[in-house]
Amino acid sequence: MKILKFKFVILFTIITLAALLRLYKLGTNPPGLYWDEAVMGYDAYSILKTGKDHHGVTLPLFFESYGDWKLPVYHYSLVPSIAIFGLNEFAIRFPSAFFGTLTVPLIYLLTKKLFEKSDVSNQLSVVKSESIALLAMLMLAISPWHVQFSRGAFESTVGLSFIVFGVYLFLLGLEKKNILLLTFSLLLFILSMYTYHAYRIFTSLFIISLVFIYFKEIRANVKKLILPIALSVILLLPLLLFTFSPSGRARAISQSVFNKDNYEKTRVYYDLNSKRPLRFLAKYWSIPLNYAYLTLGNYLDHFSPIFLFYRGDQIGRHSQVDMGQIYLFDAVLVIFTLFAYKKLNKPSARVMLSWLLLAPIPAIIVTPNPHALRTLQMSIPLAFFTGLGAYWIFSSKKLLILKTLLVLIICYSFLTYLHLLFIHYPKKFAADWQDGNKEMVLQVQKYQDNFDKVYITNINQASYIYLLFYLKFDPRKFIESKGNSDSFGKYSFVPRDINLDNKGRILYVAPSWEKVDGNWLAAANDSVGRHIYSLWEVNGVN
Amino acid sequence: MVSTKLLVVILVILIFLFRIWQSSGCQQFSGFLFNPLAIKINVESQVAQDFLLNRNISRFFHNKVTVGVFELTKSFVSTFDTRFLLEILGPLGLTLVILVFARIIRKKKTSEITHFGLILMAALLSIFSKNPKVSFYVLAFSWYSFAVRGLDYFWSSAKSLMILIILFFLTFWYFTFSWQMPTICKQIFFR
Repeated sequence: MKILKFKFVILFTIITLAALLRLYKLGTNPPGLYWDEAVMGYDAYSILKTGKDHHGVTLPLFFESYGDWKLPVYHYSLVPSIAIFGLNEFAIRFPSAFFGTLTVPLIYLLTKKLFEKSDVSNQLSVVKSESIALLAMLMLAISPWHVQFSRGAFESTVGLSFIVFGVYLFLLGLEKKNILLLTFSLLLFILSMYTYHAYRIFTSLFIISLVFIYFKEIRANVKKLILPIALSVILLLPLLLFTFSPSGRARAISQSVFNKDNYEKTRVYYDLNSKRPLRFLAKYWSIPLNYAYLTLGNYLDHFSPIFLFYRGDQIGRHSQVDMGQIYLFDAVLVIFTLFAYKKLNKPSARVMLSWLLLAPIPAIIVTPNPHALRTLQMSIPLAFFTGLGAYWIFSSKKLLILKTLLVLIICYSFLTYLHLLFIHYPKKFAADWQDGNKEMVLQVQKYQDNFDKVYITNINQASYIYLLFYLKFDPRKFIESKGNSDSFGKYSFVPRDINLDNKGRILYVAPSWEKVDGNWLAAANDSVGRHIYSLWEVNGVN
Repeated sequence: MVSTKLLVVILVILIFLFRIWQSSGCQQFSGFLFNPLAIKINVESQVAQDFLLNRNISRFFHNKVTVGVFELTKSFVSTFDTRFLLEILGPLGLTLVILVFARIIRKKKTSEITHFGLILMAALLSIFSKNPKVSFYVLAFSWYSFAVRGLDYFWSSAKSLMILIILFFLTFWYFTFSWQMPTICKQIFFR
């Protein structure tokens, strides 16, 4: 009874820690609101108020965004969040933080389930699985990779929790031969595919690997599974049609590594610069081999120790940049995992290894690489394996010095991470999150009553969404007045080189570096005081 | 069978020598030399972010000891970077190395552990060596000799020998595609 109580105390402590790391200062750190977050938030707000997205489409299945189309789950999960918390940064990021926190107890359940089938004496038993599951849970709770994406409105965090829960229900369903559980598991997998683009590839491949791993068990239940599979296919049809449509392929094409022009340039360059006896090879280059070469390099980049332990994804929104995707001490734990690995029962080892090996695949066909967002699913097997490595070290009766040293290093690394996350990050990466737009809208609100028209420099077609978002502009009005990214209400979004002559008296919002012929009114700074926009009064009389 | 084995070993050695020959076009090797200045730069740039924070707290997180360990191990670990290993070994060599590691974990053979120990030594030397060309060749030859140990796996059947031959050709194409060796060489051209 005492042990059970102690277990619940640890469980509760880890979940609380996970929640704190994901929810504390969520509205202000990351600073600002990235345009994807703003457009998702306003679309959800529009659905809440009108049942339509801000383009006027009723309950869309796919949402138009900047340069691509977004999958629907995150948008719809935002509707209740905005209804409860209002239209603000916290509400936009809450579903991600919530599902991110939820993934932590889910990995506990999954890890325990993976060990339950141990029947060989030298394999790690059910009893030991309790400790390993708690350690895996702790590793995920404090994982910089997982925390980073739980603190922004990233669909991948939500999708990942569906996958983890799906795998758990799949294992439970197989064990209990319960078709309902297996059906739920399939539904969760499908839901993950409707949540984030990368999961259309990863989840499909992972399901195939699960079928291979548990082929015997599935074959025994195949007749009962026909109906759930048929249902899954029907549910997947819209997604399949979308995937192969021009809209669905737009993003992939624009970021694809498969580019025939680049291939031809490389081949010609080789022809000109390679060594003479080998120059003839340029004639025998083949496109498939070249693509295989590119994707192999991209794939291995995701297992680079530099990417994992020292310098993560170089996009500021995706990592702390100054440290790896996971902690440096995880490298030690991963090494010890290698010794513990053969103690795992075969199916669980295969599930986690295939998960880890399949995880980078969605990222290898597009640029840039390595990409932490498209491979967030790696964080689950990494937490599992580092948890296993930690168990291996801490359950040993020897290695006392190593254990003490490791505890100190883990505590120090975690404190350093907190310091980077809460002190450095908001200062260093404000620009990556397009901070300064909220201040701009507040300043516009302050001055706009004195003007008939407001002109705002249109940077990347994004300014209008910040106006809509922070003004909480009535979506019904926006849709009915056929507002768009060029203008709505008294606001016009104009190119930088616009001629302001003969436009009357206007409030003009220009980038900070631009000198405008008019009266300077105010500056709009970001949260660290950097000057982003200037507000000008322009008379516009020639 | 002995002659087949010999032929395969020669082929594998030839493909590795082909890579070495390609590297003769490298005018400037990248190298892994650890620069202690990196510690100072790292500490100063991090401390600069803490301008409103108590100096002692800032120094607790950003000091020469911890950053030194971070930077030094980073240089060391970069000699094991996956892209670098792929460029040296190609798909065939990398497969062989993975197989040897798998055997080390399973069987813990002293000779193989010692051999890996030599690679660790070579890596350590390369982060203190001022001659990147020598570092590269020392690392390359220690990895190649380690990789050759993995050939045992392919003697068991004709099928596995076939896989080896396929990997050989893929590696040949890989080496021709990645002739610029960006992680090994800063500048490459042939006169």
